[in-house]
Amino acid sequence: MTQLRILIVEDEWLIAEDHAAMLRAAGHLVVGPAASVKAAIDCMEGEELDAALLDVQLSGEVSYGLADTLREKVVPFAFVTGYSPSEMPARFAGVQVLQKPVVPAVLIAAIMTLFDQQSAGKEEAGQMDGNS
Amino acid sequence: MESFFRGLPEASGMAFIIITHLSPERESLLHEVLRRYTSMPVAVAKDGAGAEPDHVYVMPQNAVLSIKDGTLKLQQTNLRNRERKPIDVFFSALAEDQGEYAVGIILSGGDGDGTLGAKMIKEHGGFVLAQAGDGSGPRNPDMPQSAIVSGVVDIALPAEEMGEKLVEFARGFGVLDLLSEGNGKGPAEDTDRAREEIYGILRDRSGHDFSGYKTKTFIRRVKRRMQINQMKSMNGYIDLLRKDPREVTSLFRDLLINVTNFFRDAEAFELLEQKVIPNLFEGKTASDTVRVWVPGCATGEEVYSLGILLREHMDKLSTVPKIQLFATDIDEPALTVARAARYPANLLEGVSEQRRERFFVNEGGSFALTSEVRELCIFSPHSVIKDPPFSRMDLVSCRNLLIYFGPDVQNRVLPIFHYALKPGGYLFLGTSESVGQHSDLFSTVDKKQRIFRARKDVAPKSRLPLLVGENVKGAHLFSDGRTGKGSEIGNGAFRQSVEAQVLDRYAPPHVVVNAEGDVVYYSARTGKYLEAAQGIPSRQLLSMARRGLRLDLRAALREAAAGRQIVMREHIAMDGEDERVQLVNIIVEPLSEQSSGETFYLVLFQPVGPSRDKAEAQHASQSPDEIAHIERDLRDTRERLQSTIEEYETALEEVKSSNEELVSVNEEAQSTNEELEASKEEMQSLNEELNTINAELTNKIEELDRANSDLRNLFESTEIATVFLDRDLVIRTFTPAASAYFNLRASDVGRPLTDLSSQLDYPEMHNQIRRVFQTGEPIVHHLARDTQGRFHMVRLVPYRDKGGRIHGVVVTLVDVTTLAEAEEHQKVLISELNHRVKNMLAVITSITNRTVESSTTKEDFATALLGRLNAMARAYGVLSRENWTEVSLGELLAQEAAAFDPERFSLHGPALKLRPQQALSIGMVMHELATNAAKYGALNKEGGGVEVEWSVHEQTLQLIWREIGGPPVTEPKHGGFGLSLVRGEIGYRLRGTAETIFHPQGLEVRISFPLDKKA
Repeated sequence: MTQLRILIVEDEWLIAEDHAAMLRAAGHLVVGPAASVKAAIDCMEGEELDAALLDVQLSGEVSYGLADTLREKVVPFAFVTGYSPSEMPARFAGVQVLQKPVVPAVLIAAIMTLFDQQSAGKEEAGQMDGNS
Repeated sequence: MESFFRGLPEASGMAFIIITHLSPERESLLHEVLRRYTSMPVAVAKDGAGAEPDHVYVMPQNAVLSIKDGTLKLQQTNLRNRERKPIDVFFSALAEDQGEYAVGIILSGGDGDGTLGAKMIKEHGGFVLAQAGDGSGPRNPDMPQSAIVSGVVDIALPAEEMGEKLVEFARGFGVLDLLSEGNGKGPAEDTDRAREEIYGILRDRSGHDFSGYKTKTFIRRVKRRMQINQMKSMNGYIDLLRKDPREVTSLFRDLLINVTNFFRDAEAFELLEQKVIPNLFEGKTASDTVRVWVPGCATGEEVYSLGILLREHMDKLSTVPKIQLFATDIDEPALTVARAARYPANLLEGVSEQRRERFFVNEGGSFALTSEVRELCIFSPHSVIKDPPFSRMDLVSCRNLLIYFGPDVQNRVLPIFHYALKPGGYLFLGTSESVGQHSDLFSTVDKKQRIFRARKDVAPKSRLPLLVGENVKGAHLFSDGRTGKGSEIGNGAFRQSVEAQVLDRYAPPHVVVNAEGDVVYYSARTGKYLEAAQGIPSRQLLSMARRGLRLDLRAALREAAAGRQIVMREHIAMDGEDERVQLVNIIVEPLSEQSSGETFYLVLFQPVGPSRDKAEAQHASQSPDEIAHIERDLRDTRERLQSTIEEYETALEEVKSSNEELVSVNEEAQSTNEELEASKEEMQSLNEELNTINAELTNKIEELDRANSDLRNLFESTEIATVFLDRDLVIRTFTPAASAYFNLRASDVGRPLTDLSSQLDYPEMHNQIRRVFQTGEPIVHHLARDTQGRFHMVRLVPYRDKGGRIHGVVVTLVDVTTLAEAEEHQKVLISELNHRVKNMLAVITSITNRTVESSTTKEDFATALLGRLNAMARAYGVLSRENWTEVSLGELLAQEAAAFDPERFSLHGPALKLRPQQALSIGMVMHELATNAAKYGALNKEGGGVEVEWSVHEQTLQLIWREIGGPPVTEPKHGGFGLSLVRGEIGYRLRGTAETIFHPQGLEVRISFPLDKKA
């Protein structure tokens, strides 16, 4: 099983620790957790990420801007939130939204899906590179 | 009435009482309407109210008004017995009560109401006005016309001029009162002299002598005429009489005005009842008819009096013959009144209680005849002078008609009555009337009561065939008597005397007769042929002709008149004197036209042979020649007789048939009349009602205007934009607020909505409106946020009329921005709530997970978990008390301390508010530290306690937790969950720092975090 490097962005310490514990228990590496967008960017500095879990509603801000950045960096991510998917902006229509509270199995499954996506994306990118 | 009151001068000093024909069902507002036209107080008449000067009183519906001693009396009627002649009732009461001071004014109306009452007013010396055309004429002229034609009206004039005349009349009272007082000799003598003069004038003009008239009444009537003509002295009035013949006529009329009553001259009627009426019925079976004629019946009182007598007698009989009571007059309006058969109570004074009960129906103020009397009577217009008379009458009652005629006409009319009556029929005349010169026609039954009987077999009867059908000239009231029939005789003296002698000696005896058969000239020696008739001298040739001549004479005269040629009859056997027979030739020749225009006839008598002995003649007649001659004579005679009889029969038939026609036409007309009367009365009251209704409608319209105005104000006060559209989407009306959305102006009413632009982004509007029409269901549609950030709701509702049919649609626009924003806010809140709840569950999940990790037994787990959950709950409790705004740090700490042992805690610090997230974190932190202290630290040991101090420096909270008097503590080898939670909450969550110092005397924890950051 591949050990993945996963960024957790969550402002509630207890939940952040909880999710981190779940991931570690599954053998993954946790980058962060970060309580704010700024903290997250600081964490990402110089780090390789395989996936990210984003809480939508952070203290006084939303994580959509961060999500855009991750997209640019071609880092797959999922939202973990109390909000319903219909409340998400349209551009994140295809993104997974996990409803809190998240059970470990669901969390891990989501991570794997993200990993698959990432692999697919890299293949494509690779193919494209190869063809050019 | 409007023009009358407007034309009335101020302060006239008169009281006005208004009677109208009102429907009992409608409440009349006439008194209110009248207030607009006059400054006098207008009130509805009340029973017992005095009639004050310069006041107006209006009769209410459903009542009958009369007056006594100057006080109004009101009698309620009910719907069934509606008083139909309220004006007659009131006028007659007024006349009796106020006498000369009564004035009756007849304005417009549809029947003859008021005529009888006006008569009474005049009778009592009052004043009568009627509304005539010109200017504001009466809308319905029948009522005033009826009064005018009956001759009871003093002045007919337009309503606006009446006021002045009234005032003049009132002024006249003062002047004339002086006249009536005969103080001392002087004035009385003058009055007498004046009276004599007036008698003279009247006699000259009318032929009637009024010196026997009641003096007081006479003076009163004269005074009235003076008042009307505004004369101040009797001499002045006499001058007027001499100058103006019309005034004489008016005075004459006034003097003769007599209100006819029922059973007038009671004694005469008693006599009729006892002596005459039974005779009328005698010998009549059920198939016979009792026929009565009343010429000059006027308003019918006399007729119905007779009818009552007849009916009473009929009741006594077992076999009842038919009755025909013909009542005629030339005065058609009077006939209308008579047909109505309704009279005010005052006229019934001559009627006994019994008769009143039996024959009248009391309708409040007036009495109506029952049908058992009414149906006996047939009324029709007829002129005694011009039209063919009725015939075969058992009784002719003509009272106070002849007195209106001049003596010549009277003389002509009496024989007509004689003709009309059966032999032995009765003639009933008025007091002071008599048969005059015609006592040969009538025998006297009772001179005083004026009852006469027609004589049988009287010569003048034979006059009639010549009279009937001829166009006789009508009688004038003061016609000059015909001056003598002067025929022209002779011119040239000598020739005259020669011719006279020849005529005298040698010409056959002859006479000249006029068209009526009267001899106007006798020659000499007519004695053989003519003999004076028995009785009153008459100039009728046929009466005087000797026996035997008459038949042929008559035939010859007729032939000559018809053919205008010479007629000769030969060998007529005439009875001479001493039983001798003389044969005579008769020659009748029309004389040439004389200058007077009359036709005359010359009748010559030629004897044939000597007179013979009757026996001789008879004997002679025995020889065959004689026999043949006699037979021929006989034949001739028979023929003559035959032709005479035929002539008679034809004439009779003609008269009979015309009479029969008259009767049948009358009978038809009567029933039609009665129907029309009923509908006419309805129409009248309808008309009267319509006037009042008009006034009321005006009021209603004003109310409607007010309601509309209210509606308009309502529209303008609402800020809801509403547009009313009809089925074609044409704008009917809109509220002012709507014009903002649709660019509407007042002139846009009537244009379709589609013509107009709108500021709304509402493309579906027309389709939705159409759907509303189709389904009849309202549609509510929310518009998207507009450019100004407002939300609107549109309601389309079908516009239904009273029957529920859809006539259009009502478009309403409401600004629901606040609502929409509230909804959005609610959505946000719910979303928030979801988020928080889920978050909380996630937090609890992690607490549970962590607690499990650090617990060994089930009990430990439960205690720790529950402790942490309760701490959370407490913190949330405080927050919710403060509505999730801010929480006092001190309260939070105190609350957590209370869960352990408040005595052992000392809390110091400034008042400080924390945001919700900060409060929650601190709450949990506090719990962990306290739990830790309770397990391992100061709270575990007796006498140990905790000091918490906090302060703020540069937006940073510094909080120190110091445990004292606890057991010695050392840093644990690996951090327990509790302390890691403290670090996590403070460091991670609140971006602060938490330093734990394990002093030997007790744990110290230093916490600091920024306060301004959103948490």
